[in-house]
Amino acid sequence: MTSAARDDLLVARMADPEAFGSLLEPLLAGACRLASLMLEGRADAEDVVQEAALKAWRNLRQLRGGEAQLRPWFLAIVANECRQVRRGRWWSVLKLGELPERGASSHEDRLVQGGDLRAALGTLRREQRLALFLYFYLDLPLAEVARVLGCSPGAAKVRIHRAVRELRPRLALEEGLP
Amino acid sequence: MSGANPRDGREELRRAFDAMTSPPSPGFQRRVRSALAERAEAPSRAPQLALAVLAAVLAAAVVAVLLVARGAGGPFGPAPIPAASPSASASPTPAPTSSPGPTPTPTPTPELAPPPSGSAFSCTVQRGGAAAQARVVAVRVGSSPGYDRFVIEFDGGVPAYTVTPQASSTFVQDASGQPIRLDGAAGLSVRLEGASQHDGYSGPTDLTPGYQVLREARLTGDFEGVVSWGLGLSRGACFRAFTLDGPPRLVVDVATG
Repeated sequence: MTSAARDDLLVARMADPEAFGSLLEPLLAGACRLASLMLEGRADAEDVVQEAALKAWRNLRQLRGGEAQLRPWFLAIVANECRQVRRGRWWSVLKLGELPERGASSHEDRLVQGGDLRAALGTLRREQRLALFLYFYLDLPLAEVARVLGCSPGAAKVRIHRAVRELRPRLALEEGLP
Repeated sequence: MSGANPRDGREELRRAFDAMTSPPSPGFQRRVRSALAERAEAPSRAPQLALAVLAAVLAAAVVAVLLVARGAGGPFGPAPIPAASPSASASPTPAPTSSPGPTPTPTPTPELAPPPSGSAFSCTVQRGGAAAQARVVAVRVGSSPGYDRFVIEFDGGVPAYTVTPQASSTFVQDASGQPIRLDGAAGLSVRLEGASQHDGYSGPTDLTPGYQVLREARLTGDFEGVVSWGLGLSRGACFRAFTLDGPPRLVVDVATG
């Protein structure tokens, strides 16, 4: 079967919202975690994921690569929705979430004191934090991490390595790297 | 970090992310499913629909030009008739895959029935209806300038109802006692005594119109003759509850002004 035929078949199989909903269901918990990480507690992650689900359904024809690509494709839509919310007018005036701001205290202090890996993660750049989350928390393979980040697998790998290097005083992760 | 186990690092990272993020609330998957069922248009139709609309518009333009030409005494006899046929065949048909039943339209519906005279907006508990048994046959939402509307239609008369405002959008599921969080920051609880919704009703039990004030309506109970619906509102708002006949229905208008 050609890949185009496979895509058509997938669209046909998901042609009713019920079927699409059940394919999406296993992805929703991870999607909510992803959105809550990216929105930093400043907007409703569930609303954003629901919007992404509707968008995915409407744009189902754009899904390439069959069912195996549904997860990175959907998570990429969720990530884009979150970025859009962050660019929005209200983002800057909404209350800050629990994540510490970058540079709120000395990087070294936090790392040396050791007790707070979350604080260390908070000092990373957003896209680095996101790369770590996708790779280590959601356990996505590198190719899918890249697809959600919207970069090449090579660039995703570099991003993960750099993020780990920044965290390294806190973390023994070398062997877990891609 | 010599001697440290990489597995521990990975585990530690997972725990940190676990604490930094939140899982979805228990009813979330159901909420997404009903949002898909209610608001989704068929995925592949959009380009075809756009083409059909374009064809219809072009055909209409051709017809208009021909009619004008004929009105001006031009030599156009039977020409307009074949020219008109593409518009008929190209007119968009409703997508066959959309869910059956009373699907709410997210666009404002201008032809909402007017309320009876004397029904004014108030911000306190409102009661009405008659002690009677009735089954819910349809639930709808709509929006009109000045208010968002929630409608429950019955097969008999409108049973005794109570509409109570509340300061949060969290409701308690009747029978199970589970809290349900609806979209919004405030709510209205609609309670119908002597009603049932489980026999003969096949419509949605969770509507997410996302209007200005009425954000979501969800069935929160259908148990021992009491049907309850929760309305999630974007903010505390005054409302008017009243009944209409033909068919019998309870209407709750939430002020948006």
